[in-house]
Amino acid sequence: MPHWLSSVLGELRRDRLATAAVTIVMTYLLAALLAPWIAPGDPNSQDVVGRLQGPFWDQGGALAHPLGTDALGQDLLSRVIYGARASLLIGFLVVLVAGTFGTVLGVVAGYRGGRTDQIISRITDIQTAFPGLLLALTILAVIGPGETNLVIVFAINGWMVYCRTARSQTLSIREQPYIEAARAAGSRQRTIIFGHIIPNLASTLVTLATLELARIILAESVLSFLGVGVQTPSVSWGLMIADAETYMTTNPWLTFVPGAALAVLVLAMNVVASWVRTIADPVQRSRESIARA
Amino acid sequence: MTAEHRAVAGPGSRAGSAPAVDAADGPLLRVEDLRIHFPVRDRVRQTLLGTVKAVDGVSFDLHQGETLGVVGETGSGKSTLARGILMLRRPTTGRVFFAGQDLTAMDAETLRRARRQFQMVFQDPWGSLDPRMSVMDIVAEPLKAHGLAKGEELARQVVDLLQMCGLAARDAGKFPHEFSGGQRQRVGIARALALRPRLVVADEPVSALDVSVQAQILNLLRDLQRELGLQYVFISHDLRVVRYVSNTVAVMYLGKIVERSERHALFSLPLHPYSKALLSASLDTDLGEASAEEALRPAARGDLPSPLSPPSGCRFRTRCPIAIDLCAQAEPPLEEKSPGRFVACHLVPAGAGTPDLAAHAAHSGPRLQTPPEGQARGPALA
Repeated sequence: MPHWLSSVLGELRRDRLATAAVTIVMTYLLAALLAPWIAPGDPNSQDVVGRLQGPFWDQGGALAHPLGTDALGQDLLSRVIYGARASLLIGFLVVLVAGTFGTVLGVVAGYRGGRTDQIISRITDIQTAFPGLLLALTILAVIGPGETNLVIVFAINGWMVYCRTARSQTLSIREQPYIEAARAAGSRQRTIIFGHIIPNLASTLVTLATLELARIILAESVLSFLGVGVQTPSVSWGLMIADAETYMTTNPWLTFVPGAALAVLVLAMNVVASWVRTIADPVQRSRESIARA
Repeated sequence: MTAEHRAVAGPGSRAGSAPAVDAADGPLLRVEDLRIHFPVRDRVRQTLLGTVKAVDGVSFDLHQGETLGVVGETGSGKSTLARGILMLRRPTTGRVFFAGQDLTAMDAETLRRARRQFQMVFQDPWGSLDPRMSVMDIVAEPLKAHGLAKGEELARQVVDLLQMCGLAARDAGKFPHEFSGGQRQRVGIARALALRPRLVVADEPVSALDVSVQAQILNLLRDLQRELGLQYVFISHDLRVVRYVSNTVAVMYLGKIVERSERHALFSLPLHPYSKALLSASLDTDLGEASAEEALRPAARGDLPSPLSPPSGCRFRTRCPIAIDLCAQAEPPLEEKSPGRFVACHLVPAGAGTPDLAAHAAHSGPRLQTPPEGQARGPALA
C-alpha cells in the first residue's frame, strides 16, 4: 500500500462520521459501477400486471421486487441502482470539466493581474449574472436533451464559482513571502503556480468541488424532472421522481426511494467535503491529532 | 554616472570608467543610482496622487569579503532596497551589477539562472516557508529550480545543509509549523545557502525572533560567512545587530544613504546628525544614559515625514537639530569627507572624521556632540 494511502486511511479511522460518509459514497460508486451485476433485474422491463406494487414488507409486496414497482411495473430497486450511474457520472464529469476550466482561469487571473484579470473577471461576472436555469433550458432546447448535453450545460453554468474562488485565493497566496522566496530561489513561474499556489488553494477547491458535486446531482434531478434532462430509457433519480409525481399521494414510496437515495448521497458528500478540508491541511491535521492525544 | 556615485565608489574602485565592471577585480556587487518609486493612485478614479520614492538614488559597491549593514527606521526603504538589489522588484531607474553583469538588463530566464549566485534570507520566518511543504521540499526547491541534484543526491545535500545550519537530519520530514521561529529561520538560511551563493541579502533576519534566539542566528550567519566565504548585505533597524555582523555600515533615511563608513569609524564617531540620533537612541534604551539623552534627544524628535512629500533640500532637515537655511534649498550630495567616510550633510566639513579632526567635529556646534568613546560603543552583543 502506498504511503499516502495508508496515512489517509489512518486519518479516516480516527473520524467515525467521516468513515461512515466515505463508506456511503463508496457504496454508491460501487453500485453505479457494478449495476448490471447487483441489480435484481432490468430497470426497463415492464410488467403491467405487477404495477404499483409496494415494498416487500408492505401489503401486496413480494421479494421479487424488494422496493416494489412503479406505474409501468418496473423494478424500483434496479432503477435506483441504475439511476446512480447517470447521476454520479454527470456529477463527476461536470466537476472535472468546470473545476479544471474555472481553476485555471482563476489562477491565471489572480497571478497575472492587470488586464488579464480584468477580462477574465468581467466574463465571470456576466456569466454569473445570467440566470442559470434559463440558460440551461435554452441550450437544451436548442441542442436537445441527453446526458452529454447535460454535462455541457452544467459545465457552462458551473465554472464561475471555481474561477472566483481560485482567483481570490491566488490573490492572497501570491503576496505570501514564500512566493517571493520561491522567486528568489530561481523557481520558474510554472513551478510557482503548480508547486506553491495550486497546492495551497487545493483544499478549498476540493471542498468546493465536493459541494458542487452534490449540487450538480440535485440540478440533474431538477432538469430530468422538468423533462429536458436524462431521457427514457436511461434512468436517473430525477426522472424517477418526475414519473412518480402523479402517484405522490397514493404510492408515496415511488418518490421517497429515489429522493432518499439522493438526500443520503448529498449529505454524505458534504461530510466528506469537510473531512477532506481538514486532512488536506498539515497544520489542521496535527492540531486534530494533538486534540485527540 | 552621477557625481554622487563617483564619490561613493571611492578610491580603488573604477568610478568614472565604463559602467560594466570587470568580473575579476571589480566589486562583487555594484549598485548605481538605484531608484524604486511606487505610484500612489486614488482607489476609485485611478488618478495619480503622488509617488512614494522608497529608494531614491542609492549607490554603493560591495567587495569580496565585505558585509554591508544597512540601518534605518521603518519606512526608510531598507527592505525595498534589498528587493531591488535582488531584482525581486524591478527598479524604476538605476542599475545593479553583480560580478560585472547588469542584472537590470537581463531577460527573465537569464536573471533566473543568475539567481544561483545571490540569495535572500527573509524577515518573516512564518510566512516565508510554504506551510504545505516539508522542510526537505523547501530546502530542495532552489536545487531543483537550477537542476543541480535529484533523487538520493538531492536528499543528501538537503540533510547536509540542515546540519550545517544546526538542524537534525530527521527535521527534513517535518513541516514548518512544527518548528519554533529560530528553527524556521535556520530552515530559511539553509534554503538560501543551498545554491552556494556568493552574496546573501538578509532582510531583518532576526527582528522577528526572541532576543535569546537572535544571538544564535547571528552567530550562525557569521560562522557560515567564514566557512563559505559569503558576502552579506545585512538589513536591520537594530544597530547592535548591524554592528555585530558588518564591516561597512550604511545609514538610510527616507530612501537615501546619508552616511556610509567603516563600522568602527561610524560607531565611534558618527558624522551625520541622523546617525548620531540613531546611535543615541540605541544608547538611551540600552544604558539609560541621561547625558546622551539630554544632548541628542532633540535630534530624533518627530516622526518620519511622509514619503509621499519628502522635505525639500535635505530630507532630514525637519528633524535635524542643526539645520540651516541652505538645508532647505539644496540637497547635500553623499561626499567622501575623509578617507572611507561618506556623508550627505552640508554641515559636516571636509576632513571630519579623520583622527586629528575628530575633536574638532565633536565640538563644532553646541548640539553636535558625540558621546565619549565608551558610551558610543554600546553594549556588546551577548
